[in-house]
Amino acid sequence: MSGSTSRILIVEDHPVFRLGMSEMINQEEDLNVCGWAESVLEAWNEISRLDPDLVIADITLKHSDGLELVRELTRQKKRIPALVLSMHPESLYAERAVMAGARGYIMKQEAPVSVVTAIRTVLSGKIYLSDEIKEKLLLGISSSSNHHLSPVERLAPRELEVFTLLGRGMSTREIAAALNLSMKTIGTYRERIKEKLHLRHNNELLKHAMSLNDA
Amino acid sequence: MEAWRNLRIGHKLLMGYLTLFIVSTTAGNFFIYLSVGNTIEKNIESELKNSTTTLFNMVSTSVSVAIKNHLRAVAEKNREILRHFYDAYTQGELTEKEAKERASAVLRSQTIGTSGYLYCLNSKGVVTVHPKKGMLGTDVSGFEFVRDQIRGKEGYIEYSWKNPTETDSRPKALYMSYFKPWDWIVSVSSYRNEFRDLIKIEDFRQGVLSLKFGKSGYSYVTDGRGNTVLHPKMEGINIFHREETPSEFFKIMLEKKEGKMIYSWKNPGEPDFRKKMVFYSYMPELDWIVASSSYMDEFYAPLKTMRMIFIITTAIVIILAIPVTLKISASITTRLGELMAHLESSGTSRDFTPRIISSARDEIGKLFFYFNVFMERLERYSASLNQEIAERKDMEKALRGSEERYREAQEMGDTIRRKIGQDLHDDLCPHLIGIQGFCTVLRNNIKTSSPGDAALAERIGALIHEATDKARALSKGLCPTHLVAHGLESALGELCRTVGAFSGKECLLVQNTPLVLDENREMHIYYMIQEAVYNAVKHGNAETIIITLDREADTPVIFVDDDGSGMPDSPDDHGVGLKIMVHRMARANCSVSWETNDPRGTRVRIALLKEG
Repeated sequence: MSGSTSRILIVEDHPVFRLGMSEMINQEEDLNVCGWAESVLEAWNEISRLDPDLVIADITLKHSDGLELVRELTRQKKRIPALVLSMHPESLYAERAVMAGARGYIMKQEAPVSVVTAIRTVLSGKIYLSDEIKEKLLLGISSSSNHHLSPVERLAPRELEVFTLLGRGMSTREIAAALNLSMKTIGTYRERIKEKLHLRHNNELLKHAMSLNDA
Repeated sequence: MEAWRNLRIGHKLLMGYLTLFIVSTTAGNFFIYLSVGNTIEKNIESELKNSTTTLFNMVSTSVSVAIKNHLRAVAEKNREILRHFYDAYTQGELTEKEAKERASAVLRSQTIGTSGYLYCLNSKGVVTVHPKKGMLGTDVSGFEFVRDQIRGKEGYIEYSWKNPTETDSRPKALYMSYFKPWDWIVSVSSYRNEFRDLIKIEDFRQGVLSLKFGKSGYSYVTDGRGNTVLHPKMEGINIFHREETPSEFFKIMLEKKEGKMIYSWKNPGEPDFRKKMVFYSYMPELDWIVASSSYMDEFYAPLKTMRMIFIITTAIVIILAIPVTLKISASITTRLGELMAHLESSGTSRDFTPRIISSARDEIGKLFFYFNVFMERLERYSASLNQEIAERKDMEKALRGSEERYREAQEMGDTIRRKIGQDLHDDLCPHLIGIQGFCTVLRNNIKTSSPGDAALAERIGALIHEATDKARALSKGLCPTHLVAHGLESALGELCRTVGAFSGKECLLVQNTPLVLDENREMHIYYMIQEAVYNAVKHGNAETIIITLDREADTPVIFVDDDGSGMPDSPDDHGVGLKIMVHRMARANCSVSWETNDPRGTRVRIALLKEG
């Protein structure tokens, strides 16, 4: 950071959107788009080169997942805050982005109006989410009986075992064979896991399992 | 019964014929045998009986003739004596009374046989001469034979007579000769059994012994004490005294006097006893038994011959019947075998061209003819069937090709649609948003220097924002990104929101059960529901659309209900969307049905069938 100008790195693979956003941000005196990247790999290069104050990242990038970048940024000591800017509805992705360590989530449609506000909020150390998402997240925490536990910790040992094996890329048949259980039982475990982790879809379950396994 | 059914036709025919033949021949022969046996027996009995009667009569006649001649000679001699005394009277040598007394004395002095005597009657039936004086002058015309004497005066009479002291009447014979001058009927009377000595056996020996019955049957005569009077083999012996021959039968004969009997007999010089049948008759006046006998094996010999003929005939017929039957059965079974071989060959090779050539016009020939007709028809049908199958295969191939092309086209359509949708979402939308960002910058830049232009720039920005929303909505329609990322339920929720937002209609998702499907199936189901919802909005003018995820028993079902104008009645009126929906039905392995809702609107029911 130089003076009172915050340096912002935009990780976005759409050039027109990127330019539009850059123009909007650069119009603010205290904000400056110091660079841009189109992929996670490029982003890391630019981050290490430019050392930005804030990273604005899209989820869908060329050959890569923006949330991965966010997750890694969170792990680093510098803890460069990340604001996720995506075409995907926040109702589905905002929570996940926050879980990955993002400090804010904003849908691209809303960007022309609220991107600057979002940037300022995040830079000030706060989290930027729409009121609707905030409420949903709070309700989710309070409605959970064992809210002190992470979703994965809520799983029973057997369920966790199934979940872990799913994360290793094993099919239902392979898990059934490995645990000496029927495929139907494994199916039941899968449904319970989905329910406990608020996962709506089998693909989501797989993705989640694999990501946790990677972690 | 099962074994009989499985027997070959040839064997059946052979067994059938032989059984029939043997049974019928045996039955026929049996009855013929019985009948002939009966006839033979009757004939031999009749012959024996007649011969015995003849024999009886012959002996009887011979006896009668002998007695008659003897009595006649006595009678005529005594008439001569009467003539002599009459002549002495007429010549005056004696008075008539003296002449009669002296003549009477001569007559009375004679005995005939043992107890016979002479007597005279006059033509009124009064006794004029009699050994018993008390009888003289007695009128005996009350007796039948006396009346015969009065009527005949001359000749021979046989009659039965019972003396007052006797219990049974005995046969008597008399010969009378009439001496007219004195009106005396000279009667010589005697019991006939007292004249045995008068009988000359030689008179009828030849007649008796010449009688033959069968090969060695014969007639014989014995007396009441067992002595053989006439016998071809053993004359002059006594049956009772001969130890080597049984005599029981003779006692029975003596006892019964007359009838038929079967007994065993062995003549001297014969090796074995043989059964013989005898008809016998008793001659009381001689105390003789006349009999005609025949050996049973001889008179039943024709039966034996017949039996042999039957056996030989049966054997010959059986020997002939076997090859003939086999030949006949072979003429059937060989040709049937030919037919079976053709049928089997045609059955396995499915070649219906073989025909059986036969000029025979019998049943088998007709069978061959029908077989040929049948095969011809089969060949025609087969050719026609093969052609139809080939055509059908071609059609199926063409249909599969067409379906494949349609599927490919549809999948390509889906892919392109998804690509366009994705591009709209990932490229155009950010593009527009970027431009909107520039507008915002422009507006801010000219806000102070040119407020009018700034307002215009803001207006442009707002329009671009609208364009972004439309592009986004379009992309959702073209590519259900929610479906790919979040599954069917989420995508349906998004569909409801989008439809609600852009059509102003109320679209609700009611989720009574979770639905987990594979992605490909989800895609088709989603598009089917989307089509139903779009139809309700566009064509049905519905105000409310409700998508319900439910379960009927084990089957997950999805209902799309609306309160619109309902489905068109004619299938021709169904749009392309509905036709595609039906096509997707197969791809998604589900069934789709439409029905009219009460009071209005349509219910589309999509039932997800079990996989596999």
